[in-house]
Parts: sequence; structure tokens; C-alpha cells
Amino acid sequence: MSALDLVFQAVLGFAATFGFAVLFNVPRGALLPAALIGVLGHLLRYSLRQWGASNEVGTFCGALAVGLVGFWYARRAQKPRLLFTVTGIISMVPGIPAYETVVYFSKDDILNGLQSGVRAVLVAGAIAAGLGTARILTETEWTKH
Amino acid sequence: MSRELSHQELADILRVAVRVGVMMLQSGAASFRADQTICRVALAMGVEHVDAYVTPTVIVATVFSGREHRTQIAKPSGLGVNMDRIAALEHLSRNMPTPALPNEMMRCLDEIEHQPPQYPRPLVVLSVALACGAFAAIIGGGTIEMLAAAVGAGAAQTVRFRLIAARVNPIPVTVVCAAVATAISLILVRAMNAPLPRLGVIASVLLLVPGVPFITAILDMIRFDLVSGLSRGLHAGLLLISIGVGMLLVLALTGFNIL
Repeated sequence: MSALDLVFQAVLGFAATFGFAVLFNVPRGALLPAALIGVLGHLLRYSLRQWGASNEVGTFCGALAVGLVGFWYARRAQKPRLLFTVTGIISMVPGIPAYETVVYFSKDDILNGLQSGVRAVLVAGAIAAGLGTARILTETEWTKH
Repeated sequence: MSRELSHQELADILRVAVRVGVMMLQSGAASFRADQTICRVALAMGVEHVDAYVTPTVIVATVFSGREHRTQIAKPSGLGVNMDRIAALEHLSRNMPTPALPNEMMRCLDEIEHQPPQYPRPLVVLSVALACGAFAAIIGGGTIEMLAAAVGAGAAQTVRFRLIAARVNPIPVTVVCAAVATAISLILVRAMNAPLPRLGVIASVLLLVPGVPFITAILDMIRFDLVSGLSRGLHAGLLLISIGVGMLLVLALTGFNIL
């Protein structure tokens, strides 16, 4: 995993997050920070996976980082958190395994369909755990019920 | 601000607070966020106490002042994503005009509602195309796959704009756009002899993945709002299935295998 590799992935992560930020009508001033936070999450996830971590662990760490940095920046910029946290993890949402499941099932391949379905759910859980942990760490009201 | 409000005043204040909640939900905010904002607005306008029950499909809120209370119900008419509007509503709730009279508040809300999208449509189409092109590379595709995914996604987004403007239900919109993206990216990967054609096709529909409802569903569920989490999650699930259906329509006709 060379430095060039990382730069390339950073550009990809930026393009992916920026594109969705525009689609979501993120306010102009928050576009760049949101995209950069997305890059952070993506690079972290990519690096961990290159070092052998599973997709779920990589996604958890990426989402956690996005949640923490997003919270910090949102507080600084006096903007709602979700502008940065939701946009930042959009590249991790397991869309592909999810609709692959539909296609598998349509071909009567239930086993593979279940496999990609479970994979999608596990990654979704990792995102939830990452964002949730970030929230618990940054806002005490989330740890108490 | 602790004088007792009349029945009519309470009703007017409530109408404002509930409208804020509806606008937030329609812009993609999580239920807990809409709840917090409704309460903040109502309290800032002078009510003593407010209770709200917020789900993606209905808001019920009660405001109290002295011995009076009123309750209203409102239903958001759809779930989209408009982060600028969420930010504007949140900002308004923390920077209320003084005095925060219902008429003035309604005027502010009208202003927010009439804000057009910040980015012109061609820019959105281009950005979405770039994003899907980038995704094609992220999942392992090369330049050809990136290009096919980008053009397919751009076409799908253009169609999506038209259909949403025509107020078509999101589910058929998703099916049609998935079919458009799949068809166009498929034509391109075949025409350009892509080495990994399935990646170009798979990435082209990513613009339709309901990422925001999915994430807000999770956030609501962690906060023990199972009703909101489940219903929004179900909505996201239906949209995901719609993507699959749209893709299948094209794949079945052409015999292409994306697996």
C-alpha cells in the first residue's frame, strides 16, 4: 500500500462524498469539510482492510472516526452534526450487497442471497456501532436512557 | 415569558412548532432531531411545557400553558433529503426572532420553504456522475468501468429529477432510474469492451441507495425509538428492493449477469 495508492483512494473518497453532499443539498460552507471528513473515513477503512482487518472492523473504525471528527467540526462551525456524519459515511453504506441480495433471490440462489444479505446487515451494524460509539463518547445523554 | 397563554395563542404556536417538525422530517432529519427542534421552538415561543411524538409518518404534539393545553397532528408528505433546510430550521430554532410571534415565525418558515436548491441541476448531475464513477474505482474497476458508471448515473439522475418534479412515488422512480442506469452503463461497458463489466453496472445505480433514511433509522433505533427506526428502515429496504427490481428488468432482458 504505497503513498500513491493512498492519494488515489483519497481522491476517490473525496469525489464519492462530495458528489453525494451536492445531491443532499449540503450548505455551501459545509461541502468541503464534509467531503474531507468522508475522505478520512474512507482512508481509514481502506488502510485497515489492506492490513488485513475485516470489512466490518474497518467500517466500524471509519464510522467512529467520522462520528468523532464530524461532531468536533460541527460544534466549531455551529452547524448540525448530520451534515458531516451522515455525508461522511455515505461511501460505506453497503448498497451493493443489498441489491445483490435481491438479484440472487430472483435467480433462486437463496444461499448466496442470504450470504450477501447477512454481509450487508453486518456492515450496516458496523456503521451503527461506529456512529453510536462516537455519539456516546461525545454526548453523555446518549449513554443514559 | 411565563404568562398564561390563551387557547387560540397555544393553537397558533403549536401550528408553527408542528410545521417546523414536518419540514424537518420531509428534509430527511431523524425523528429525535425533529422532536428536539419542535420542543425548542415551542418553548421559545412561550409555552410552559411541550410533549411531542414524532415518527416518520406522523407528528403528534401537545403544548401546555397554565391550565390550557392543545394538541395537533400533522403528517409529513414524503421523505426527501435537504440538508440545507435542516440546517436552516435548526438555526432558526436556536436564533428565534424577538418577539417570537406565530405570524413572524410562519413568515420565516415560508422563507425557508421557498429557498431553491443551492446547486443547479447540471451540477448535481455531474457530481452524482463523478461520485458513481469514483465508486466504480473503489470497488476495483478501471477507467472504462468508471466512465460507464458515471454516464449511467448521470442519466439516471436526470430522469430522477424529472420524475420527482412530476411528483411520482419514490418507489417507481427508483425502479425506473435503476433500469435507466443499468441499461446505459451496460451499453457502454459492452461497447467499450470493459474488462470488468459488472463493476461498471453495479456502481451506476449507487446514486439511488437510500443512505440517509438508512442512517437516520439506525440513529433513531439506538435512541430506543423503535417505531421510527423500524419504519424508516423498512422504507429504506423497500427502496433497496426497488433498485434490485429496476436492475433485474434490464438484466433479464439482456441476459447480463452482475453476480
